[in-house]
Amino acid sequence: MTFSSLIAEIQGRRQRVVVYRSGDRLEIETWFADHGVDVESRSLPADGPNPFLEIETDGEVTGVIGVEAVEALLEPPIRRPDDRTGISDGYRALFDVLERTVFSGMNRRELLAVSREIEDRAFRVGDGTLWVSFQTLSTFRSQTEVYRTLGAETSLEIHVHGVEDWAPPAIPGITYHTGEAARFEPYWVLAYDGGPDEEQACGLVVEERSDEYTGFWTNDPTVVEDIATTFEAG
Amino acid sequence: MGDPGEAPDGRNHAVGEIPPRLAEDQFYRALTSPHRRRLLHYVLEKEESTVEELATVLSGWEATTTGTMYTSADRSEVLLQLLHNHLPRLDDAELIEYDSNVGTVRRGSLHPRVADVIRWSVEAERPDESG
Repeated sequence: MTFSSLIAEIQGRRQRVVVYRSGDRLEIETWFADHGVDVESRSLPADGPNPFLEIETDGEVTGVIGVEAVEALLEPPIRRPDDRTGISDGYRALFDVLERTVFSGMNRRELLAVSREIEDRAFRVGDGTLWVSFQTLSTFRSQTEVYRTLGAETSLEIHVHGVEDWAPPAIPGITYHTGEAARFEPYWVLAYDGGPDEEQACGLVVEERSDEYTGFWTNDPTVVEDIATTFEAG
Repeated sequence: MGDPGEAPDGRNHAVGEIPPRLAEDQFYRALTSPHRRRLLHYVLEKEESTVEELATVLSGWEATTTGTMYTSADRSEVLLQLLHNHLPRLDDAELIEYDSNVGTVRRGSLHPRVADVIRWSVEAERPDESG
């Protein structure tokens, strides 16, 4: 199994977003379309509900959520994992409702926001294993403070993979892996096994394709296990 | 549409006799649920809706009002309530035409004043936005 084949497997699911709204096309519809998600709209009466989304997978409705709640996608919040602000609740809902949706054309800001959500869960549970690959160790550089907090304030076992183009500081709880890192270089990946609580398992797998990132995030423990296995096989 | 009190120009007909339905208990009983009032409000504006679509609309309406997400299981619960409670009741009250075989819903023949009561009941429920 490779990260590419994981993305291809998830991409095989038929995913569709239906936007219900009363007025003109919404910014979020453009965002979905730009990110390779099949999107269509239906009209609501003028004095009816506020706009909302229906998410369908293989023809089955998997969730219904207000547009307001997913607008964080347009400008994803970047927080420290120990930051307890209200923003994260909305983002968490979004994480759940759009899990295992393959997005294309993601940028680094969006990846960081999703990564932060995963790191935040790992931080809150405080135990278990977290695997990350930020392609190169120099990309990890800007995340060092976040990981110093994760290493110092939790019992997490953290494995950081990356091509060795920078010498990272030794941080208790963190093991660096550079030997097989070239194999992971095109991928930005995180996986957290949930520690004692499998329900908290989550992950992100994206592949860099000509300066754009394509992939998905998940909270399915089985998929997270597949991600972890792919790391371990390296 | 076949209602003798229905004006040809629909809801803009503000004067005229008061429809007898407004004196019927069954009408008010049909309106005792906010979900049924929303459902009627939605159906008023649509030629025809499917039961699946109504389940999504009621879920979305509640999700946007409460700021929560409706999961697949939550929506299935809404769908069951529609099939076993709301739709048969509204059909009995002749406020909608529900075809349970194909799963479609059309608005009943409603006097414009009856339609107004339904619209107002939903608008009055909205959080105070415009004052």
